[in-house]
This record gives sequence, structure tokens and C-alpha cells, in this order.
Amino acid sequence: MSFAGLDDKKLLRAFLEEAEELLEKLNDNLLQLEKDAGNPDSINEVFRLTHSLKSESALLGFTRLSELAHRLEDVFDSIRAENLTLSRPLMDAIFSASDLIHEIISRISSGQTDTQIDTRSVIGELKQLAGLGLESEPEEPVETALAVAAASASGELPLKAFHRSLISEALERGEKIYTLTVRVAEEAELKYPRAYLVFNNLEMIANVIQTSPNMTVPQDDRLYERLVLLLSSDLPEERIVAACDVDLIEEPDLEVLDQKRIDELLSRREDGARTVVRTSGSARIESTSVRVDTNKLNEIWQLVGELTIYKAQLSRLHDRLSRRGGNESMKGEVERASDSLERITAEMQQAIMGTRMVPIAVLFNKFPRLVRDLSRKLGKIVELEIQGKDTEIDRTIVEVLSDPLTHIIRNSLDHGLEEPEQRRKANKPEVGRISISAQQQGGKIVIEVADDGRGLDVDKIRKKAGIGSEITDEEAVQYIFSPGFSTKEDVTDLSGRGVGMDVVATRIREDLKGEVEVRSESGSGTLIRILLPLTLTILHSLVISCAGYQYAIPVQDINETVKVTRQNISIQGENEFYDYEGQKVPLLRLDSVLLGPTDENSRIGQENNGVVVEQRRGRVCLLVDELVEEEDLVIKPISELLNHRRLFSGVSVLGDGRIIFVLDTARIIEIIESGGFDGF
Amino acid sequence: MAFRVLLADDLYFMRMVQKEVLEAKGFQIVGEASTGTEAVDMYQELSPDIVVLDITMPEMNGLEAMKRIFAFDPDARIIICSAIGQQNLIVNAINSGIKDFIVKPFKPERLLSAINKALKE
Repeated sequence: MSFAGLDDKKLLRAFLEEAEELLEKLNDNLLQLEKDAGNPDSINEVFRLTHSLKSESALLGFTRLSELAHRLEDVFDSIRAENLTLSRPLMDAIFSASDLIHEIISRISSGQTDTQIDTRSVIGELKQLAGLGLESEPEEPVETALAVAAASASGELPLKAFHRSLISEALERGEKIYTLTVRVAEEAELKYPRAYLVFNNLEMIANVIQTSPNMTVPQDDRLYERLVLLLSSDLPEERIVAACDVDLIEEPDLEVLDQKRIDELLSRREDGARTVVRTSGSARIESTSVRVDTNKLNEIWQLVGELTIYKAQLSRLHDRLSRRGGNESMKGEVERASDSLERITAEMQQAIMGTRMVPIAVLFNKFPRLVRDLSRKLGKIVELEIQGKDTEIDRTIVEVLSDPLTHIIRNSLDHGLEEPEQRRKANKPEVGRISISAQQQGGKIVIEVADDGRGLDVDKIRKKAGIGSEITDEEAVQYIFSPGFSTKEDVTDLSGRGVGMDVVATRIREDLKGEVEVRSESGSGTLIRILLPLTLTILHSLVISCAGYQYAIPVQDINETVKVTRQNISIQGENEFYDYEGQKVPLLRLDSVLLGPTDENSRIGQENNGVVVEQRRGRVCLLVDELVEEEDLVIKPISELLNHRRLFSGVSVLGDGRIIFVLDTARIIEIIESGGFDGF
Repeated sequence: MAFRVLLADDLYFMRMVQKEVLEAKGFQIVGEASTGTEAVDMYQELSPDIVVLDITMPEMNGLEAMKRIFAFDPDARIIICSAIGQQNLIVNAINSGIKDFIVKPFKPERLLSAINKALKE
């Protein structure tokens, strides 16, 4: 099945890799449940795993696999809600289902589809046993429940500790507790789906605490002639009744529970869980892909990095030889060896880089569901547009990026987009738009999240950040990313969770070495742009020398290398500026910054080398002695002790074995912009 | 103003019956689709008030068409037409947000009642 023009193979590979890990976890947790059937962590984990498998396989069009996972998810949902106990036969059926999932996935990984596999018998068994599991619980005999129609509806509902805590929480929120009895008309042919329709309508507007019969795992259709629900809600009663206004559903009975009835419910005795044991093995997947520990991959990556060092060493040796003259055949040999080594290391780097890269689709594919669910919850109408799904990005970056990006999207939905009513008033289409895009631009990945909502409130930001009119609106909005900017007041149920945009920015800047900026126009929307390096470990850098030492400047930060002469600099007060494309760019003598001011460094000769670097906050021209060469450097983190002014972003080793520090240009510009270097 | 209905069923006969029943009650049939793909295209083009969507259709089945219509318009009012053995599919469709479902073969009043209730919201 094709997926919106995306590279299916890549997506499939990503799916299979994840599926294998998922199955391993599934198996581990099922085995754990054999030993300890009530273990809530394992139950939740299995629920979560089957849920992801369901959605992912559905996305790729593996409907059988998806359905099988769905059934398992339902079973564990019931177990989680304590509507179902793990019996030995049920455990057996769960294991056969898990084995079948293994089989399907190994077929998929060998290039087949899931359509040849018959899942019906396993699903049937699962359904039957899940139903049986319920009926065998003596505390909640469904037939008796139906017979006692005269008794209060709430008496029929099987309540466990979990439900009681839901009731208490609802009361704390100030909601009312209701029992609702719904009858499905006799002529309705499919009673379960009809009852389910009402159940689903109610779940949209209220909290359904418990139902009788169980709605998650369907049982005999005839049992659903009458459905009793326990709900909590702060909505008026007529809204709840209106949710039941569906064809073939009779007028429902809604009863508000008074304190006495609630106390009764809360004090009802609960029954203990039963434990069952089973042993099983499970099929292994044979596939062309092997799962490798990321750490091992990183190790190989580092080794290739070191290889590049020797490659550089060899080419230097070759240069020296050719300058010296002499043995021509030996020179030729060294040259060929050097060339081959260069080619091979470059290819190796590419290949290993490839293992680290995944399409950003693995991240973006979560968002349609997120946006859909949230917009429903918020009562907003949203159209989501996603572009550049097949852009490749370092796996480790994806992992870290997931949370901040999710947060940005939640924010757009919650705070950015207006309610349909407000949008209409503002003469905007009711349907709000959120677009997410990714693309590679040079050595960087650019990710943008844009909405056409109300935009940021600049005045509020100015007030909160304590900034005046000397700062433009454009700059003022960037303050949402300043550490400590978000406050508790902004925390809403949805996008709050104690995480503000400042935390998002810190994560992107510090953990991902990226940049984040915002553009906003009052009334017409907000755009958040994230710039990320392709990878965190190799940087194409310019090596420069300065006062006898060498330093590296990441090429991605460099605008241009220039010649600085007396003619193209100007002085204002204590500061010098380089005249760059008609703009005055602060001129910084790198030696004075790194080694402290001396008389020596105040002299500017006929022609000096300058490197114009640019970051979001501005530009600076670094005055250096010599431009040495460009090199791919394997960056390692630098110790705090060597970097107390935080002027370096990392450290690397040069071809000749010397240690070289990598300049953190963003930090240098930041210091200059805030007037940090005296008389730069 | 009359409510605008889009009918999607691969059987001409089925659409004809539905059309007669609905037009007799003052509904306006704005389009008739015989495949899922057509249903999606027509929905986007015509923005009807409600769609009656058969599950079993060639090219793209009704559930896939439903998903695409919801992706285009999360507030679409959709009624699914199903056969008796499609209980699971119906439940999935309910989870996706359909307003109601009718089970084939159905009496005219089922179709009318389901549509009227769905349009009431």
C-alpha cells in the first residue's frame, strides 16, 4: 500500500525495526504476566505496545496485523479496567496471538503481505475467552444484573478500586455522578454496535466510568438490549440525554447519584484477582535486518572518525614528500594510497551515517492523530498539512526532538488557533491550519511549524520580560525562548504540563545544538522555525590559527572569509567594526578574546584574515592569523574545566594528532551582543 | 432550505431506492458516487450536509473513503451502510466519528430516521 508518495521502503524498514523491538518487549511482558498475572506495569505496557502496533500496522495497510493487535489491545484494556481477569486459557490465547504477530511480521520482513495469514481462529478464540473471562466472574453475573431491573441501575455495575478512584477524582473536580440506562429497540439488528454508538457519543462529552455489559470486548449481541453506564460530568443533564438521541435507541433514564448512593458505591467490597501461570517460548524473526545497539554503532562511528584523522595525516605526509622532491615512484604510491584511503573513509562515513539516518516520517506520522484528538477535545477545527516527511535526520536527534516538537504543536493548537466562533468574527475561515514541514538546507535540517492563529501577544511578552520599546517586536517575541520565561500561570491542562517554550528552546539549543526562532504576526499566525544539524558528531570545519594556536570554526556558521584592511574598518568609541556588505559588523580580535588583550594584538597590518560568522542573534567578524584548511572533525564533548567561559562547543583531534578546540560562535556573538567583551 | 445529501453505493439500484425515499421527504441529492474514490472527490467538491456511505465499494472501500473524508473535514456527517456480518467494521467507523449506521437490507424509515437525527446536531 502506498503512503502519500513517501518512500515506502524506508517507512517499512523503520516499521520493521521498531516492530522487532516491540515484539521483544511484548514477549518479555507476557512472560512476566505469567508469573504475576496482576502486575499493573506489565498490563499497561502490553496495552501500550499492542496499541502502537495497531496504529503503525494500520498506517502501512497491514489490516490483518492491525486487527489482531487491536483485539489484543481490547483484551488488555479490559484487564486494565479490571473487567477481565487473565485466566490460563486466555493467557494461552494471548500467547498464540503474539506468536501469530511474530509470524506475520517475519513474513512482512521477507517481502510478503499479511493477507495470506488467517487470523480469524486466533481472534475468535481471543474474543470468546475474553467474553468467558467476564462471565466466569461470580461477582458480576450479567444475567442476574439484567434480571434485577427493578433495583437501582448502579447496583449492577461491577466496580473495582480503579473505578472507585475515578469516582473520587470526578467528585474532586466538582462533577456529578450519573447512572444512565439505555435501551436498544428490539428491531435493531445489531445491538452491540448500536449500544456502542451511544457509548461513543457519551465518551466524547462525559467520563464513562463503567458499563454493564462491558463495551470494550463485545459479548453476545442480545446482552446489549439494555446498557447501564456510570458517568461523571459537569454538563447539564439534557446534554447527556441528547447524546443518546440516536435512531433505534429509546428514551434513556438518567439518574443523578446523591451522596448516600455514592458512599454506597465507594464502600462496596471488591473481589481479589486470580493468578495464572503458563510457560511459553515464542518465534524469532528471521529478517535481513539486524538490530544493533546504538552504542555499538556510535563506537564504529568514532573509529571511522579516527580513521579520518589518519587519512589527513597521510595526505600531509604526501604533501611534504612532494615538496621535498626525490623518489617519484614512492610519491606516486603514497598519493594513490592516500586517495584510496580518502575515498574509502568518505564512503564509510556515508554508509555509517546512513545507519543513523531515519526519515522524519517516524516522528511526523504521530501528528495527524495528535492534532485530530486535541482539536476535538478543544472544539477547534483544524487542517493539518505535513511536508517533507522523507527528509532524513539523525536517529538520536529524532529521539530528542519528539518531545519539544510535540509541545510546539500542542501549543499551536491550544494557544495559537482560535475557536471557530472567534475565527468567524475575525473574518478568517473557520478551519484553522497547522503546517509542519521539514527540509534539508545545506548542512542543516529546517523544521517549521506554522499556524494561522491569533499570533503571539507582543505586549504581554514585553511586560513579562520587562523590555521596552528599544527592542523591535520581531526581537521581543524571541523572549518566549528565554530561560525562565514561562510561568505557572500559562500552564493549561493541555500544553502546559509545566513545560514552556523556554524549556523547548533549551532542549533544542543545548541538547541538539540547534537553533529555534519565532515569527509572529498579531491576528494572522505564528511560525516556529527549528534549525538542526544533520548529525551531532561530525562537523565540517575551517581550521584557523590565532596567536600560535589552531581552532576550528564550523563551516555551517561561516558566512564568508574576508580580507580585513585599515580601509574597511571603522571605529566607534572603543569598538571596531568591519564594513561588510555595507553593514557594520563588530570586529573581534580572536586572540584578545581567547588569550587576553596584549599590545601585540592591537596592530592591524596591511591585510588580515577575517572570518564573518553568523548566528540568529547577529554577525561578527573574527580577526585571525591564518586560514589553515577545511576538515571533517569528529566532535567530542569538552570538559567544563577547560571551558569555563563556554567559548567552545567541543574538542577534536587533527590529522597530526594535535588537539583542537571548536569555537562556539553562537556564544561569542551572544557575549558581544550583550556587550560582554570589553572593547572588542 | 433542503438538506444536501451525497449517496455512495456501487449498486445503482441501491442509490435509486435511497434517492426516491429521500427526495420524497424533501432532501436534495447533490451527488451519487459509485466508488470510494468518487465519494471522496465529490465530498470535497460538493460539501454536502450528509453522506450515506456503503462499506463495500470497489476501488476504495467505504471505510477508507470515510477516513479520507474525515481527514478533509473532521466534522463531516457520515452514515455508514453495512451488512450484518460487519460488526467490527461498524465499531471502527463509530470510533472514527460516524453519526450512525444502517444495516442492509433496511426499511426506508431507518434511513430517514438516522439522517434526521444526524442532522439535528
